[in-house]
Amino acid sequence: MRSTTRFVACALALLGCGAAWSAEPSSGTALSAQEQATLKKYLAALISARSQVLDLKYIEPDANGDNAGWGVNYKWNASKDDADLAEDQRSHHFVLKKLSYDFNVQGSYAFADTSNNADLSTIKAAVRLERGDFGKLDPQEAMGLAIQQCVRFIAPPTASAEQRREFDRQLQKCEVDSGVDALVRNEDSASYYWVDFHGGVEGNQDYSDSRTLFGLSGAYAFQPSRGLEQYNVLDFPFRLLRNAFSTAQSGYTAPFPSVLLSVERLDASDDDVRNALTTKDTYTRANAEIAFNTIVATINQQVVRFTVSYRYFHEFSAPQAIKDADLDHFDYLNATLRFPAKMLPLVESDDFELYVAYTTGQLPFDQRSDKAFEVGFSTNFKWIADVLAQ
Amino acid sequence: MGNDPWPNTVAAKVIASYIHLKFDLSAADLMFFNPPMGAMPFFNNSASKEIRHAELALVAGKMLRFLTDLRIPLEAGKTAAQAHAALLAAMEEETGLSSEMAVAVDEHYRFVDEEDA
Repeated sequence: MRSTTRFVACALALLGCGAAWSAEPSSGTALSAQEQATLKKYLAALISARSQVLDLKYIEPDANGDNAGWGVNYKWNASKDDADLAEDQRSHHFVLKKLSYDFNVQGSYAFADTSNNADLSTIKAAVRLERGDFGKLDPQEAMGLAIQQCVRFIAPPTASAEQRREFDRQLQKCEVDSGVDALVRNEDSASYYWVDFHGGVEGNQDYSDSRTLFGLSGAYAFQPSRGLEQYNVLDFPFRLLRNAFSTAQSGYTAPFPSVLLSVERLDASDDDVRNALTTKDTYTRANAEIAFNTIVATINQQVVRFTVSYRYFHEFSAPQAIKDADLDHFDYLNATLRFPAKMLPLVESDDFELYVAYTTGQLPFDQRSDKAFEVGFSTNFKWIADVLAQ
Repeated sequence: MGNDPWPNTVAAKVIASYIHLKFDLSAADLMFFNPPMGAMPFFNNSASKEIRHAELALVAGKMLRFLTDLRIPLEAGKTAAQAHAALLAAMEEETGLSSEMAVAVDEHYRFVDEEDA
């Protein structure tokens, strides 16, 4: 009971003003600013863990130590779909056909004077058609029974590194003996695409500045078979590295770059930022994205991987004032190198993966600041982060 | 403060085996450390969620094709399309646990350790 009271008192103090906490510390228990921030993050995570809709967050102070405080991310989705995933009788491919209706509300709200570092909220409805071709089926019932019977009684992996190596050794024996290793290595090519018609509103956190929109979008992803991977030009340097460092047993083939295309008609009559520049409040915007994800190397079954995405937004026939303000086009790039934390045994980290990311550019919904996304290098690798911070 | 391991089921071991074979990731580390979905080798952390939806739907479809190749039967009343939707929903949660893939598959397919259940 006593500890519960103390927890509630701590929570209320943390939710309140940090300065007030610092001004009236309990005897001998004053917390540093960094400790307070850490505790606030944990508290936010604890509260958010109970909700699928709300995600409470603590926003760190800016470079001047100001504008810290509490914010909330929210998302709610309702959808209805009609889907069929089965063998196509003509091609014998495993094919998904799906029609879905989707209603999505998501955004963020920062309380009081806190800077909202994800200043975009949206309400959108969409009708979406999706189709996936996951390759030709190759029925292997005996193989299915063999792999299941073989793995069934392998003892589960434990904290012991030696026991985990033994688990992997036994599993690999099952994979080879049953023949599933060859099945996966010789997988067919697969593709997936969707197209949608959507409409909605996008705006700042309280929709005081907002734009209504409707438009068409589509995305396409393709995973080649081993025979086609040589045509994946973007993967060429990574394939050289991967082949140099990985075992020959891997069934990995890098996906081709995925693409997204979107054209939207917007009405920005409630967007004060735009209205200050032009009276033309309806316009057409196109958006394209190309994204790529590949494995750079696999060392002792630990994966080093690289992800990148480039997005470009363009307003057609933009007024001169919009062009002069450099608001008629935006581009944004994010590239990340990721590797398992335990690959570096001397580095202490609670994360499964460490990453170093580089971000540049800006997205169109964040016209008033460059805070919406972290620009420049970022990482969860503490030592590098300290160097970058300096 | 680590995550609980993947469940010790045949479904979990078969899915971990597929990920090992396809992406060369240690199945034991995957099952024991239970990393978040965002750390999976097929998760494109840089991409927008719209592109990621297509990429993950493709990976989920290939996993289910693997199970279909192995002739692992669906649970009574379940469909492959439902399994795909559940698996994809688990995959799209960047901070969700990777073990949710095994849970989604186990809920829709009937493996040999469930035959007497």
